[in-house]
Amino acid sequence: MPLTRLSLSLVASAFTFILFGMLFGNMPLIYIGAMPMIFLIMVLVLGQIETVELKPLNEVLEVYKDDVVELQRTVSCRGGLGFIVLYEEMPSHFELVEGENLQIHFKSLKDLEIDFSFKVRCTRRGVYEIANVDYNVRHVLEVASPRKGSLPINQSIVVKPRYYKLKKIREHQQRSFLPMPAEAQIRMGVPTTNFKELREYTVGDSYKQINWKATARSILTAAGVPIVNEYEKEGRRVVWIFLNSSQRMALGNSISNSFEYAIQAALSLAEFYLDRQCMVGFSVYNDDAVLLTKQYSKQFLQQLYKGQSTPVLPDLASSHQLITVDQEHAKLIDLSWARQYNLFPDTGRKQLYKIRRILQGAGLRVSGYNLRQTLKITRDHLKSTNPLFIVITTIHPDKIMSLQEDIRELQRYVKQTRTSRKNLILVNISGYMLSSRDEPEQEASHILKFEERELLHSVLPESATVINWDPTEFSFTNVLLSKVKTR
Amino acid sequence: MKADLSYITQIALTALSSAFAILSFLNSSLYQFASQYFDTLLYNIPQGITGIVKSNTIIEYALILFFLLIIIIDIYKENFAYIFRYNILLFLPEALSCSEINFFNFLNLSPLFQPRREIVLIFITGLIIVTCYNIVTFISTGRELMRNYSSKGVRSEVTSFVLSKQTKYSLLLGGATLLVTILIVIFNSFSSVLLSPLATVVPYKYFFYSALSIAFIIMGLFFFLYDKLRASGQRNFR
Repeated sequence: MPLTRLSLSLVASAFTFILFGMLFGNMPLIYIGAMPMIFLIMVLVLGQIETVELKPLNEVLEVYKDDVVELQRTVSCRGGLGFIVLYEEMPSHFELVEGENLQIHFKSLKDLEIDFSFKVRCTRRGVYEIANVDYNVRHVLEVASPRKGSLPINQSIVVKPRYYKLKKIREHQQRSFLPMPAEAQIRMGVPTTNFKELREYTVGDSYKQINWKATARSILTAAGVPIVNEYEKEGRRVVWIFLNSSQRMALGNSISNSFEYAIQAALSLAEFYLDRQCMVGFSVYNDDAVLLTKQYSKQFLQQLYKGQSTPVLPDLASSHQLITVDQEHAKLIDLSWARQYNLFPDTGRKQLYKIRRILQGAGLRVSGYNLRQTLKITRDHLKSTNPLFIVITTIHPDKIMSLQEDIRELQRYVKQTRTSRKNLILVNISGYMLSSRDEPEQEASHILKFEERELLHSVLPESATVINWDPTEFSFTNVLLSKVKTR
Repeated sequence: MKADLSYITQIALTALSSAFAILSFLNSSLYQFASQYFDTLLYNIPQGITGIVKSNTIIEYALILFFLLIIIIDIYKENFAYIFRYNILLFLPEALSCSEINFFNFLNLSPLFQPRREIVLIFITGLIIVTCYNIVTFISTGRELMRNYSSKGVRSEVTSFVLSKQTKYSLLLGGATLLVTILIVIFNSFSSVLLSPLATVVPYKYFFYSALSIAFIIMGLFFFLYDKLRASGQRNFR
């Protein structure tokens, strides 16, 4: 048991008294000098807390962003005397709502069971590992050095991105301006062999569809209604969602920024269209990215480093041996992993799960492709589907020309009809208000918002629906509800 | 955290220790000498003043005021360590009066250190001062530590609870040490009577006891160094 400075000072004072006592032949001083030593021995005999144990949880908690989670721990201490400091380091995106993650408990000579809990708000999506709880065992009178250690807990918290459930409009007098894909089929299409889900029997269902085993299982719990197998239908409409992950989307703070709200919007729209039997494709792109050939990228980087503001860019090449250069950061990005941010169109809950999993790990500048390059990769899946495109981005005057070109490219995959059917939704996440801290900044944000909306309407074609969303003002559901009009 | 049990205990122990230290000084021969010297000084200043104010009264009041002032400053600073240095200084003249080897004879100062009280009373005074010092030091350390944890976000009720427990154990262990020391002293007085015939039996007793003492000192030193080396090894390993 290593001693502390305090105990050494006790020993020093004891020796001083004893030395004086011996020098002067003074017995009272010698006895007084012995006292700190006796004190120290008695205190050390009591000892520190010997064993600290924590039952490992080995669990995975699944929550949504901004949910409050209660984390419970039970620690047992045996032997010795003193106090124990328990500390649990939380991920930086967790906000402590109730209780404390730094605990101090006193242990008398009896064994001690510590039950403590605290609540945290998960402010950012992702997978967080809480590996262990740190402890610091301290002597009751601080004469021995504290003993540090860690108790393995193995708890994972999966924070899923939150999305807004967009419900159906039940009133016949009302009509939503939220477009559906052009190739709309009826809900009761030809069933495929792809199993979708189990559901309760409704009038009109074929007896062949009844799943007798599932019915037998549910007969005791449900109201005796048979359970039927539901299969995916053929002839789906295709919706393709494009999410911008450029650095510009970081407008706001680290927790609440345009990109986080863009993820919410993407997930809400994916859920909305998947619920309506559509096939949904999903891509993350980066409109700062420029593709260059390997040979040319070196020249480009050299130009960037020399400080030339507008380096000459080559034409886009379609070779697989390409290197992407992020213009702002002049960083080479390998394309081999960039493909994982493309999900080809599919239906059902499985597709929603896949989209959610991508969004869970998505960060800024994850993609090495801009929108046109993403379209090149996915063009085989787009041809002859006449899809509905949804582009979720933040508008900026510098990028408006590029956006116009992107839209023109998108239009190539859409059938041109005489009707004024909408085939493009552009969701503009306005993040200016997220980053404004005081009144003058808020006023400036209002002006910028107005400016960007004007800019948008001037460049977008008739076939596009624009959804301007300022997350500080309304939720995404409210924004979409504003698109509902009475006939 | 100011008005809790530990704080009141610290103030009470400091006041108790100071009171015993003042009492010890007032009963020392050094104080007698000083008061006589002051009497001579006062006699030479304007006539009649010695009739109104006695020198010993001035010294007593000065000491009490001095200690009160220091205690107030300590309460304000929340640090009680310094006052015990003055307590030990005040106690030393009386403690040195119990010495068997009087070095002050060489300086012709032996009248300054003559015992005026029973040796047991002097010993108990010393024990009380040192016990109070130990307890107050431990409480101060605990308080400092708890203040540190409070600044890191631990609730003040929790730190107060832990501190109160620590104070109780400090008092308990301090009291137990006092009792054990007194018992050792009593036992020692009996053992010297019992063991003195045994000591005469051992041949070359000075050599024998010196060797035994040196062996104990070397053993203590060995354990101390072993502990220090192990601690430094653990630190390097981390």
